[in-house]
Amino acid sequence: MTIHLSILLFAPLAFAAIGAVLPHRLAPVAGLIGTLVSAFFGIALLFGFDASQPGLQYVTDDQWITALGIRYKLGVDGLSVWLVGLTTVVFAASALWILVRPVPRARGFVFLMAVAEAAVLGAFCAQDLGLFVLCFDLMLVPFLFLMLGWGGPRRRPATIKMMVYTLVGSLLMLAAAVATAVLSADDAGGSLTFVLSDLGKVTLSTGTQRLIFVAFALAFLIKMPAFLLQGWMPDAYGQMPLPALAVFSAVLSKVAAYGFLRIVLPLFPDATVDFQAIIQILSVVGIVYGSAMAFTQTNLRLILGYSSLAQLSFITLGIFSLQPQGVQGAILQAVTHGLVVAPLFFVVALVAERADGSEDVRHLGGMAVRGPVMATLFVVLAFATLAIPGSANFAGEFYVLLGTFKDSVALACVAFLGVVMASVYMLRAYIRTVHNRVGHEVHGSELSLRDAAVLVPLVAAVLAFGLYPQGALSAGEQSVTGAASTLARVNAAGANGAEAQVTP
Amino acid sequence: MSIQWYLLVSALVFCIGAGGILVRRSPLVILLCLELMLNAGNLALVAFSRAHGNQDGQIFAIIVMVVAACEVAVGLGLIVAIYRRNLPVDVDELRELQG
Amino acid sequence: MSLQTLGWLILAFPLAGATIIGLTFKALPDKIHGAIGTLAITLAFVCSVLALLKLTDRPQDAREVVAHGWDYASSVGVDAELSLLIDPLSLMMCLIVSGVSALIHLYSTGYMASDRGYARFFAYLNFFVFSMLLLVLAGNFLVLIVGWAFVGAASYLLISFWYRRTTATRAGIKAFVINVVGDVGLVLGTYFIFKHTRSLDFLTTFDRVDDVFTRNQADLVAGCVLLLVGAFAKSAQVPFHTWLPDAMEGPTPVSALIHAATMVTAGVYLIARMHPLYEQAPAAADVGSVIGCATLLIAATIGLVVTDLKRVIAYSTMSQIGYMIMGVSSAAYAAGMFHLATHAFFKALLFMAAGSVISAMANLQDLDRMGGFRKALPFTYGCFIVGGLALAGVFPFSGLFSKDEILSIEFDRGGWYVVLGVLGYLGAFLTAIYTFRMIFRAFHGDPVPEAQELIDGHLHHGDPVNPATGEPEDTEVGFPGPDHHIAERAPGMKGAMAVLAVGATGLGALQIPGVTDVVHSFLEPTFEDSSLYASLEPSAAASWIGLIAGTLIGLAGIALAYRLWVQQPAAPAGLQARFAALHRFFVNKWYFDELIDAVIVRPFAWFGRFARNTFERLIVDGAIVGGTSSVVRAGSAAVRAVQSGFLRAYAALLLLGLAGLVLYFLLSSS
Repeated sequence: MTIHLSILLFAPLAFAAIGAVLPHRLAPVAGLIGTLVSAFFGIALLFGFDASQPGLQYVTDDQWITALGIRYKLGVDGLSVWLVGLTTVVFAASALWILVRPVPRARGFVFLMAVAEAAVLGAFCAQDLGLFVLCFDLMLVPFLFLMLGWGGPRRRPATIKMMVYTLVGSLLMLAAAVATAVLSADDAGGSLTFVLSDLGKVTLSTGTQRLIFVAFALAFLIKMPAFLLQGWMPDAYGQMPLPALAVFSAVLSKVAAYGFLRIVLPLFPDATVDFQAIIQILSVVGIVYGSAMAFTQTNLRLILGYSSLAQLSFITLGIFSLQPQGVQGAILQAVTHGLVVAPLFFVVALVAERADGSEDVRHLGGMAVRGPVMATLFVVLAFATLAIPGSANFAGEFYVLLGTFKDSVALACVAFLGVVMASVYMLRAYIRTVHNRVGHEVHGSELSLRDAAVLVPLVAAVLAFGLYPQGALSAGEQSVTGAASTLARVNAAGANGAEAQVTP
Repeated sequence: MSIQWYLLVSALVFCIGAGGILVRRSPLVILLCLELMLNAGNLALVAFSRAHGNQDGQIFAIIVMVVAACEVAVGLGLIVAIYRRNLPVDVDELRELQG
Repeated sequence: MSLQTLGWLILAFPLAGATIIGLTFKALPDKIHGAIGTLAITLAFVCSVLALLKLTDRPQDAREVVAHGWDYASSVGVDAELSLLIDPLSLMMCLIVSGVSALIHLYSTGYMASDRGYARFFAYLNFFVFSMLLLVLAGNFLVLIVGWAFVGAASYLLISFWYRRTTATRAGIKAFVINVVGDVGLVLGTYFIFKHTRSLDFLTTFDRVDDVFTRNQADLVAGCVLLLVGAFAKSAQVPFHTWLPDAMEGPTPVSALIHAATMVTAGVYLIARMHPLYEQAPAAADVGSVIGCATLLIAATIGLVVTDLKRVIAYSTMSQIGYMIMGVSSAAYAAGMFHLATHAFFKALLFMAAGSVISAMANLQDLDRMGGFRKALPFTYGCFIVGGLALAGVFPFSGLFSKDEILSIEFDRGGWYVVLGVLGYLGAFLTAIYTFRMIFRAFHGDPVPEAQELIDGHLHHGDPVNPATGEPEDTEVGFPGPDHHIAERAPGMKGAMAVLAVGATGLGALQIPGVTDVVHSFLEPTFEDSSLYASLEPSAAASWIGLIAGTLIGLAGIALAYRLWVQQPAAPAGLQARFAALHRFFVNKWYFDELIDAVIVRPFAWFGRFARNTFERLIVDGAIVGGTSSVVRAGSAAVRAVQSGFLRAYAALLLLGLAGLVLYFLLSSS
């Protein structure tokens, strides 16, 4: 029992609360300190994590809502430890960004970001379904306010759209979570509990599992967003303030992917196997569709938005290959995508600043002439996003596709289309921004030192990660083998059952 | 005496109050009618309480009176405010809450 | 120093060079960057030579050394560590790559001297050499893929080096995307093989191939063909070749380095490296042979009609790589690798000489505008002749020995491979024609004004225009500046060309049939597990017959070219008119660009437009978002109607509800 994770969770919130009573000028400093404390603990977690051990580590377990059987139980294992690290780092970068380029009404902004960080970290660390649902729903609220208070000119409709969409998902998930706990308690005959490890001991009937699976899957797929459920994404990505969007895109979508791994796979294995094909096809279509959309867009934010849709589809594809390699790749991909997309959004902010606020590639061009360093950072990030071999993103994709390949060669081949298309849309965005002739409204200038302070560490992290993705893979190995072996059992049982039915 | 009579009176008073609310337009009279309905309820509560032999109903009746008093205070305050602003003292004219 | 250390050092120097140049691009003056870059590659070359000495010290059967770095991405049954494989094959590639690269760096110090992006250029070049060395030294599939892709990225950066030209950025993205297709082929091929061998490591894989695969097993053939896709994309083989001619947008040293000497030969290396797989899957190997042969002919026919100086050489590169691919696919491994080596020398030489002409023409590349440079650029002319003779395959120049070794092995193998050999000789004839067409048109005839100026002693400075489109050039970035060099006057450039010219002339001595057998015996340890390698050895007599035939064919082609373009300059126009349809077909490059456009690019673009304009609007925004919101809207409209604002209406509703409730209880209680 350690207090480690609680510090991680509440440090940003505590400092932001202090910041909320300081003048606007000082609030970002307090926010930064909070996120840095958290980042320090997050990175310490990575180093302190014992990769050879399969179970939870740094567990905190305490009474919370006794009547409902909800406990305040936190812990990390191989599935979440790198995502926790990513979250703290990305939020710290965003806090630094807010410090070097002050936003109006900074107190509110900083505080909302801190709430978001606490909620996201809570969702990653939660080992109790009730706590997870709470954090999952809570993490959205600050972003709604951030968009409404600091967003672009069309922020109202965008906020409403996003709220309605994600509210539907949240309500479904709440209902599903309650149903899981109540039905499990009924089945087991014990008292009501939301603790995941207890829920995992009970296997619900397949029919029930299916219904609950659908509710959870919808909630997660909306949040990602996945193909067909992305209606809120273009507006929200277009309107959200960039420091918030960077963390939103980098981290929030990963919580959904993580939810599949943490909640859905272990609790509803039969339903997972049943719905495997549907989700896989949805993912593959999402990959192709997202990539195709990304190269018809002209707004940089939307290019990144649809590219995230495609990348997130890779992650679901990996998870639902139900192979250890696929799951392993999905985790790595989640971390690396987050690490790459956040600085890319900062680059978008820099680009817009140099082009009278325009984020449209048709008005851009030639920025490399005056800003070679910026262009270099951009090209590193662009190559990492398109998962060039040698980047950690590629290691993730390699594993995802290897898992998929083992499961279905045809799906893997279609998914590879997405790899090729990614190179088209990312390079197109890059070329039209920093190469070609200088755009009319572009007044290029080099990266300033304060911007470099945010970008360079992140890019360095991307490079270092590319050199040594092994760390994340090792950490995940035990948990993934554990998770995948359960599924393999179910799979085998299903196959045997089918054969048994066929043979007579 | 049988409880039916009490209940009959209570129902009668309640209906008078309800009818008053439906047909009158002055907020003052509506308030009066509301009081009638509340007191009809009180009557029923006390009657039941007596019939069943426990005191819960009477306590409820007292609470209802307190609420009624508060309501009248607020209601009268509103009416005075309406009057001061030279608005029509007529509930059919006061319909800004239309959706 | 152990071999392993040397292996790491070979990689470390270019990477360090690129990093240092990149980090100090503002702090140090340009000249130093050029020196750092050249020095880094030279050191890598020195290390390669040291490694060669170490390796030859070892006994024959201990010449495969693996250097283990660290676990790169090993997990759940995938063994992907960072490991290098140092054996004769990879070391030979290292020597070629670092040696030729060092010379090209030296050349670039002069050629790019007045370019604003001088430091950037050398950083890219060093990074490219690092990637290429990583590719050839890779000890497992994953590292190979990494090197493979890095090379593609470096090539992209260098092709669109003059990034303010739209043509250059377009060529860059085209090259990169086609290379990514190749990467995908490589990765998928790896999956197919990994599925059975359960190892990514080269030596383990090769050990297990014979056990886990039967001959021509479907998965193995699929894997090998997919690896071929990777090889074809990188080596510009049909139908993945369209990026190479466009890649001539890059500065000329880039063309010499990447698009002639090193990167495009990666496919040849890949097939040679994977020979145990291909020998177990002869069907896939035959695909390679046929495509190689087709490419060598197609490229040669296009080379006959192209009028852009660099593109002629580009198509000739494609054609020569066709020979190599054909060779290594038909088990002529040493011959293919030998041709790779000689080709690296004479093709780099030709590109450098072309660069010299292009700079004399103030960046114009059109053969139609050139002529009479013989007197103006005597040294360049000499280099062109040496390179041209080596390319055309005339005794005693190096190209003849290597090319004819491939062809004589094709004949030796018998069966339908003989057809490939015959077609190879046809290709050689065409090669001789187009090579000397280029030389005669650029150097013979009356001097054009630029040439005349050079003869008179000054250097022409035209207004900078884009050679591809003719539009005025953005002068802030790009070539040439006001004081550009040409080979004749810059000692570095001249020196590099001289060394290459010596190599292009004399390298053939390594493999004279019946006399020397250096390359073949050096590569022996790598290919000792091959059943075909040892058995396919044409007799010295047969080889000499081949050499004589090759020389005669080459000379015939040169004679024809001389007749057509020097003696009767009107004749080519007449031929063009007579075979107008064929000429148009060749000029349009067999319509491959149009084909790819129609089959791949347009459908995808259409799909993108469909997704954006139709699907997103109708289904996502319309059906899902619109549907949901209209349900909500209809519901709220109904609820809104109730909110009339009439207090008494609310009261009535309330009472109605109460009455309903009472009624319900009354009914249910009775």
